Amino acid sequence: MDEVIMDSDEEIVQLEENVSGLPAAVVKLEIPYNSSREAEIVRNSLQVDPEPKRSQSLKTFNVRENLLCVEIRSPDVRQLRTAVNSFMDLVHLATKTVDQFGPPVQRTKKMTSDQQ
Amino acid sequence: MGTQVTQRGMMHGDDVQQDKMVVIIGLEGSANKIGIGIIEDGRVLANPRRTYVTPPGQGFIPHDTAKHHQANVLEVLHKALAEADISPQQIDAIAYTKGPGMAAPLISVAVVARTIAQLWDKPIVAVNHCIGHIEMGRLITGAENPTVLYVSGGNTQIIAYLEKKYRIFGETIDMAVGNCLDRFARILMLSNDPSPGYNIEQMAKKGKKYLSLPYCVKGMDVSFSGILSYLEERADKLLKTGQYTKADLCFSLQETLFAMLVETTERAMAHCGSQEVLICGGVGCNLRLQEMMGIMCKERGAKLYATDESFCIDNGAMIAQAGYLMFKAGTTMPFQDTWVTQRYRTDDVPVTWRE
Repeated sequence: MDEVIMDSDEEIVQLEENVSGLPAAVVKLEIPYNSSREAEIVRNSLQVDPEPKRSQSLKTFNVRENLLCVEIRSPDVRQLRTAVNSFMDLVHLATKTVDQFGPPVQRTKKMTSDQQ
Repeated sequence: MGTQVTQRGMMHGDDVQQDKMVVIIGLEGSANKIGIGIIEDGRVLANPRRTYVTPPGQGFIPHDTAKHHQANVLEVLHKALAEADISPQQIDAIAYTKGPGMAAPLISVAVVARTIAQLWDKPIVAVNHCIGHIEMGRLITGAENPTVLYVSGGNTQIIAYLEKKYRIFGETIDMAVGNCLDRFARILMLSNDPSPGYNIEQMAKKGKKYLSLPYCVKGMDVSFSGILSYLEERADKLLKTGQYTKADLCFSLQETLFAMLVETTERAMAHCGSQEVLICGGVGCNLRLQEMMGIMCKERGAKLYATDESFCIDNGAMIAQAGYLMFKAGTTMPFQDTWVTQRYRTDDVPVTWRE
């Protein structure tokens, strides 16, 4: 951006640069489940909610065999800690739910986005 | 056709084609209560609930409330299934609170709802919390088409149904009436167990001296921040000088707040030509509010409907009931639409299940 940056804009420009490629603080998690289906279930439950409005953290989810792989990127360590802490609470909750109310039943229909 | 045996083991004769009974489980956790309810065709099979109670003088904050719900939700879920004596296979859909409410607690409960929906391969229904209150009130009381006063710690709305929407006729322009009461209870350092509002109500019964407080009705709407700041500034002094007791202040506050609610409800009734009032939401438990509303209704020849604390206060069954109506009307949602939201207007929901 070539225009003169005012005080309040400066902060915004900084963060945009972080999110677009300059080094951010990153946590990578790998959590094993009993099956890839279980890993998918947890992923589906956790990836629906958008990040809170004031959060600049970004989560990407991936299921590899029976592993749930999550990457959390934040502009700095403070925000990373916040994002990781609340994420860990939720992944723990989802995992306990699978343990106590699973295993997943045989699906009669695919849970695709354009159904239901 | 022979006799048919339904899931509940009942026998039906040749000439009766029974509709399959519809069972919905509802999960609620938008504020400090975590509740899970199971409803089968209008019958409440289970409705366990746990409340996060903070020490006197403290309100509940989203992070701590979320931790409470996370720690309790699965036990409450086990309890609901056991009390209803049903298995997951018998459930037709999972209903949960989409909003409005506090984000962290809402997400915590939604995560469990989404997980069990997938584990059990059931459709999921996202419910508006306010509509849960309204539909539970209608179910329990049998009110046909009432003017609804929905009053709780988080919401204060006067609602009337018109052409497929629950229209908000009047509402608070600042805080909810329950929030005003809760914050006043904190000033007095009243216990939050079982709820600050309950303790104000009990204390108010012993009040004798009436303190005139700012009365703030603006057309169809109400405002509470003025009355709260008035008390915040003066309560300590009034109590220390012995001019008023805590009971007197509780009594005076209730009389003023409730008169404002009765006035705005009456205005909506007159506007809609309605002869029924339904009070729902946590503040709806208050017997003095019910009494004052009852007097107004009697004067107009109208009927007052109210429920007891198991359904007034946030609970899972109300979400199940609203979910049941939505499900039977054909509404479920794809997974990516099951995000939660802190703000969710009552009049944003298409009420597909009513004429």
